[in-house]
Amino acid sequence: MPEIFTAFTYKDVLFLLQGALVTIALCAMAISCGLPFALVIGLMRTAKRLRFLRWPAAVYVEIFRGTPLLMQLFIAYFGLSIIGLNLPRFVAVSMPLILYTGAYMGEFVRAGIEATHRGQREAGLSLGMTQYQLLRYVVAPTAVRVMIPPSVGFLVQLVKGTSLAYVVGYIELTRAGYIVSQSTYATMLVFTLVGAIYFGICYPLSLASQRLEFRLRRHA
Amino acid sequence: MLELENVHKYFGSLHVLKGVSFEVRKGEVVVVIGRSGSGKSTILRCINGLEPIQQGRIEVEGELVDAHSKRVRHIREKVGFVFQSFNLFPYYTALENVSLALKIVKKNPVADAQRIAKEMLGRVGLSDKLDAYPDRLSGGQQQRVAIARALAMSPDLMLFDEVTSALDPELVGEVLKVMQDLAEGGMTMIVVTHEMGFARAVGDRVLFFDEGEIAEQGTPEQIFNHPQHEHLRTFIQSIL
Amino acid sequence: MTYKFHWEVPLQDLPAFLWGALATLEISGLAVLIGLFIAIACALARLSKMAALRRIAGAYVEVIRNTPLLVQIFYVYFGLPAVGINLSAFTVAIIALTINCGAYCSEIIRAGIQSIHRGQTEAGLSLGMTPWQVFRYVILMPTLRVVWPPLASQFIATMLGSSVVSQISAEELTYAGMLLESRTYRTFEIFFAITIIYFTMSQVFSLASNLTGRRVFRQAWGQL
Repeated sequence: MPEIFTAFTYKDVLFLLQGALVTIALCAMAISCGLPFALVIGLMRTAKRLRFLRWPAAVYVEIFRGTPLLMQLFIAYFGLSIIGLNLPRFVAVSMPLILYTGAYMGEFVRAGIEATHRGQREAGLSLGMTQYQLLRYVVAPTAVRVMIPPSVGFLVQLVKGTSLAYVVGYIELTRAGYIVSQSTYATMLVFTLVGAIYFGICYPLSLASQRLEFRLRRHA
Repeated sequence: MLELENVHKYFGSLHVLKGVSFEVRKGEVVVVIGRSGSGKSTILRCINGLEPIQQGRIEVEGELVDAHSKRVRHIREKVGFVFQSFNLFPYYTALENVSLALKIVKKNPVADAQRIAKEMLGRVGLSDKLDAYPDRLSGGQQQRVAIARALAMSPDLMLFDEVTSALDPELVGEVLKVMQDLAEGGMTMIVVTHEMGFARAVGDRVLFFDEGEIAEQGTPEQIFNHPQHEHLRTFIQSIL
Repeated sequence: MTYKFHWEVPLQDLPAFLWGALATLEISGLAVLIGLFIAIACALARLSKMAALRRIAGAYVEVIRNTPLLVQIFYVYFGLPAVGINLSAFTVAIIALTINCGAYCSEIIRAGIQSIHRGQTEAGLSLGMTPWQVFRYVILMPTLRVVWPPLASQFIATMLGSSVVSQISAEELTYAGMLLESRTYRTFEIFFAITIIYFTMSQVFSLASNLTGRRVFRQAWGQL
């Protein structure tokens, strides 16, 4: 195959930006489906009446935090096609990301729930609240505020994690960069640009996470 | 109004309450004193069902207290509890702290709940702090909000668990004054405390807890001036 | 489900996987070890009084933490030959992982140093200790105790992240799997087995670091 190297043009930049959009779309999918899932996991981890729910959730979290995201992607992606499910590639790539998000954010939910001091729960109980009312009015305000800084920090992790979709050939920002770099002279320029785009997405999120954590520590 | 009979409680294998029995009449102010670990805080927490008992009977106005049943909530609507560490809800203002339970437990309409809450906060002297968050209030103010929160539920019985122990000395007085006003207004109260001055001035009866039992009881005059039990005597001496 | 699982495929090649796992440990271990030196230097730079030093170190840390490891690896992999340096994929992997790990570890160490109350330094000096003595007795031990768990986590994270170097054909566990996969096409079974190996390694290290930490830093473990 004759190697046709072309110059790096604005069309390539557009291609990269499309990749960036795909990256953001993957994250949005992971968060929107992963968050309710994380709530379930977090509640399971702190269940008081139905204690037997605790360990499955704990095992799930251990597995997803103790294995490489790359492997999770491989297994989920190829595993799905084995079961015979032919899902659109976007969904197939999103699924392991959703499970990954569920595990990490599930831990944040758990930390949020446990952040409510026992005393406040007792105060709520002493006022005659039901378990549900306790959860909604006493635990939730504190839990949500405690959850937000690490969740924003996790977003950064997620954005970086989408780069692994490269490995299954899915075209997001990193794969787009690779494709462009293979067909132009400007490899280093391309990857610098790719890095800069990732940085542009992640750095504001990192800053926000730090700021939120600072504000939280002052309030309570 | 309140009756305890032969109450036993264990924490694991530790026997913390060994056959506690006493009665409280309507309008009485009972003060409970004793060393740490004597069981005095535990007995309070058993009365409103925060801790279960293994043996014996606790009845509030004829209704049995069963920490494991769902009906314990009805007991809690009638019994107000004030904690040593205040336990205010940190992300609600003073007004919201007091009115929350009125809205969701007693299902009062919002306007009524707020009116009652304002009144209660006025009674404890905090009308100017309605919109303050707990982290802006002093310890004494937080505790008074906690008292207002419990009072707003119109309880028949108020339980105070060492409510001044976590306060700086100069803030203790304002809380004790509120409690004294309550007592003089006829509220039935059980107060676990180290404040002997309060016990003498306001208490109708004093219970001395020692190693999980009521070692001695009587009027403040009897307990403080003529202690019989040996441990009570050493306790009084170490306090005064 | 018409797929037949061929579990014997990964099992037959187990020795290759174990060598791969060893390589993974070697890569991650070196990355953390060398990375620690970078991390300490970087942490001290960020805490120093010279603004220029702070900014350079700060930029390094923020760039690494806000870009994906894969992109960093590509950068080194394509960048070095561009300036005439030709190294094996294995070496490139170690370099990229070291740079990556150094940034994260520097944050851990910086937080650890800052968590020591200034009051304790002042107390030490007031007792007549020299600054070196203050460092050795008042700062060093508590700092090590504080940074041990997060550093152990970072090692595990680096080890798990090292699976990405397979993409430049560096020879480690994931790459071993990819080689086998290209011969037998049993993607699912192979990577399932490899995942189990990763999981076992991470659990073992987690346990080991906990136990070691408890024994070496006996007082108030994990509480700070």
